[in-house]
Amino acid sequence: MEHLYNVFNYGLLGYAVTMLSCYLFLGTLAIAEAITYLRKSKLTDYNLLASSPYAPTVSILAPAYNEGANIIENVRSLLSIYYNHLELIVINDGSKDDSMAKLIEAYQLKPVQINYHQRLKTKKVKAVYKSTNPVYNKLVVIDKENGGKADALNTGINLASHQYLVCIDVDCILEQDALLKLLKPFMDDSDKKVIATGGVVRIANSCLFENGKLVEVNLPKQFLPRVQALEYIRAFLLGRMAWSRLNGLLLISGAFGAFDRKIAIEAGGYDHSTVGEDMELVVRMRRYMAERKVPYRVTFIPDPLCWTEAPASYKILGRQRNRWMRGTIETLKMHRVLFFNPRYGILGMLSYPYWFFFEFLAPVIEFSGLVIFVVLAVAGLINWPFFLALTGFIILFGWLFSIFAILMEVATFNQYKKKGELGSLIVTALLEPILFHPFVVWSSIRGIVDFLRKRNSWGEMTRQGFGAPAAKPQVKA
Amino acid sequence: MVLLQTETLVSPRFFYIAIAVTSAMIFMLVVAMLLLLLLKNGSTKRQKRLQAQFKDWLVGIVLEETEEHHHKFEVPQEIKDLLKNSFARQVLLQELKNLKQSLSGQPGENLEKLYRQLGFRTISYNNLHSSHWHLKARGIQELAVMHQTDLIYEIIPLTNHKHPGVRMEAQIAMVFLKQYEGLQFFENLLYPLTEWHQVKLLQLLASYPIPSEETIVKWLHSSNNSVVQFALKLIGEQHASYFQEEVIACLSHKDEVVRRQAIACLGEIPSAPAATALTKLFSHETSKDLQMTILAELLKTGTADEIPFLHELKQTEDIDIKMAADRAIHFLKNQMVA
Amino acid sequence: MKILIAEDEPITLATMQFRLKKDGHEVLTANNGQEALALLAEHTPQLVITDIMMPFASGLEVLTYVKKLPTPVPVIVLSAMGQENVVVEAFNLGADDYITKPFSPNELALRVRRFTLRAS
Repeated sequence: MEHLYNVFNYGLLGYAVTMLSCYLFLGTLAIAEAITYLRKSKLTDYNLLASSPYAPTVSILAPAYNEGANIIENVRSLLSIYYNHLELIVINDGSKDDSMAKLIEAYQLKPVQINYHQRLKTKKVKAVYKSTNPVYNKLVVIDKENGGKADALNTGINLASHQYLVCIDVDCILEQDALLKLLKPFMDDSDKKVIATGGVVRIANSCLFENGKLVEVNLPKQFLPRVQALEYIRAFLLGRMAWSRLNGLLLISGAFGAFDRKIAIEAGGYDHSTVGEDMELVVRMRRYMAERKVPYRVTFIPDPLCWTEAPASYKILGRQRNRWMRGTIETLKMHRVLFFNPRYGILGMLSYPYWFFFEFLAPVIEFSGLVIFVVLAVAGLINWPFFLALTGFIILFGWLFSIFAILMEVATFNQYKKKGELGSLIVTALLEPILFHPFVVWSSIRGIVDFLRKRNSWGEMTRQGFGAPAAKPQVKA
Repeated sequence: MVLLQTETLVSPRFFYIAIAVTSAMIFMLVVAMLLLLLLKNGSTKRQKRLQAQFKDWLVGIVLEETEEHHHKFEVPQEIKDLLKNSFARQVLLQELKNLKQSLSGQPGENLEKLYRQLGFRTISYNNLHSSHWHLKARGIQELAVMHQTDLIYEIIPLTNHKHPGVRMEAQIAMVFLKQYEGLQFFENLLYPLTEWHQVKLLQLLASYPIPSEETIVKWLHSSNNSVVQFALKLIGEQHASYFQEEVIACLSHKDEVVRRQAIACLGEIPSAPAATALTKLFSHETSKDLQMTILAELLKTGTADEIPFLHELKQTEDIDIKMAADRAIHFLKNQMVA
Repeated sequence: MKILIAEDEPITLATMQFRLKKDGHEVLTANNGQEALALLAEHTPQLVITDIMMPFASGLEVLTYVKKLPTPVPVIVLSAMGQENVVVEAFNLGADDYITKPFSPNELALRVRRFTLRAS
């Protein structure tokens, strides 16, 4: 027992120290990257891209399942994006509601004959529609049999005719210049090919929208969305920013990201067999490049560009986190060859191990730590002063990191500048370890259990579709 | 009883210290955050107020019609007082820059004059000599927008600056001030031009026709591939079909990016020799991607003469090529009917 | 004549407003597309001048909106984007005139006068 206790102590301590140093390291990188980005951005006139005949051509892919309630408005919002070389592909993934009929009526759609090569295998396409009204000439609507999100996106990729793909959730609200900013990195490469760019997703709860446009940013009034707003700030402004500096980004949010179409197709498109298709595709594209020894980059744009509704109930949030964890494990398992594999550079030596130890294992360790703690406590073996001091320190460090993230937000994009919002955000950060974090850990553990039980919930997903409340929003922070 | 060895290393006392340090750091960050927020809100408010204070005065100056060359604009005492502050000067400079970018003619000239009169040129000039890349780039941008053409000799060497941000601003400034003549830096350009940068330069040149064939031909033979690529884009955008032969010659360039651009360029200057050259290139080309580009461009430049070639292609195994050939045949036939 | 101007650069907006007022026009101003659309819901200007790249709603949206009104009025599009394709798109959407930035306020006033003559 004593031996167990020592292993437990030292192990936990070693793990914590490594994690803390990683966090400190990432924090420093994030600051450096933010400064570089802001300086560059200040000199740039993004409007250049909106009109140039030599700007990259873009296909927006917006899959929809049973979104009938808002589909017309959502599509209108996406159509209002001003960009010259644009096609907007809405994919109706066999919705059971009246989405398709509504679209046909509102946008005066007519079926068209399109010959295309089915490079990626997908479920059957029932029909492809275009509008007879020239105002909507950028719109293409695909009606297909239900096959889940990855399948819907692959269908869109098959039909897309432009150089770059922007994958987006149909209910996201984009800022006016979102596309311009997201696409610029593809035009900046000279020695390294940019294969994908990730955008920031922000929480739209309590924000004010008019005509499909964000007119007023508010910090979510409810606790759960608010704590997620904090979580997203931390993940995007610190995590992604730092990983982007290292060129080690593994995840581009499924809700808003851009890909090089050719490379996405060559790498095989989205994988149907995982619930974490957004992360899996990025990892596969990176592997594809690394294995062909082509220098490449995955970049990230920190401006708040895309706003989406976050789950406001524990039930839906729990399912979302459960799914994220399964997606993470599946992706890690599929690409286990990367684990500390120098052949893949940063991807193998840093990104993959980090995800393995701190994204996948963290909840496991936290949870088993708790179990061991209970066992030891029952056996009367707990060194209480030591235990309390350790716990206190870990909680404080978590707070420190959150506060640092809020500071970064204030220093950079400062979206929450109304009176009291900052205070509220800080209080939220203090409450997080008690009211939110344990729940996330528990949901992740359930995700792991579900994974092990092979209740690979894919069957369920196909029946439910990805747009069912359970799976919404498709955002990973 | 437990933790005999660990006690020294990981005694609670160690954590007490860690807790104290972390708490102090949290406290400091919160204070920093509040200060920063106050500072930011304050400066936004101040900026708004200053803009309002400058507004009427600036509108008056912008719309002032004057023939006199050495005329000086009147600066009211309260504006003079405001401008003693460097933040206010920054705000005004930014405002002048914005205005200059949207107004031309007499108002544009007035803005330039005011810029000099207030000594802002010196601010930009000092920025130009700063050791920080972002200030240097900003200085170049200001001088260019304000048409300080006499300082061009200071900007030329910066077109080869090691920082991409600086050399890009310098190159933009050259073209902004001197159009094609400004592109003299192509001759000893050490770095490649990024796609973004090419688009920016093309935009600046969009309303000016190509002045001399010689320089363009020289660029087409540049050892810097991105310069060749740029020249091809320029020819395409201006539909300058008299470069046809040179563009066809670029089809055998060793760099794939250049070949692709040459193919695209031929689509913009359609002709029978171009179509023949493209079909000839098709069989040599090893990259399928480029082959697909050729088929896409044949839609624009091809005629009935290419149909036999396309029919031949339909016999290949590759579905993509088959479909593209099919599309081209379909398109060209329709075109003949029309 | 009653004119609505939508432009996000405040002093450029003020300059246009001042210049057109001098010619005896009544001028409504909007700092962004959203404001312009709101003003259009309440007022009936006889001419609209709009920038393209503005926050919240682009000038092309304003243009489309105006042209869908029961009684469409002339629209002058004012933009830093001078590329052929943008100009063509603006005219396709029904723009009556297109001015590229940087522009001269006097020239703008002259172009506005053409519409005044037509209206009277």
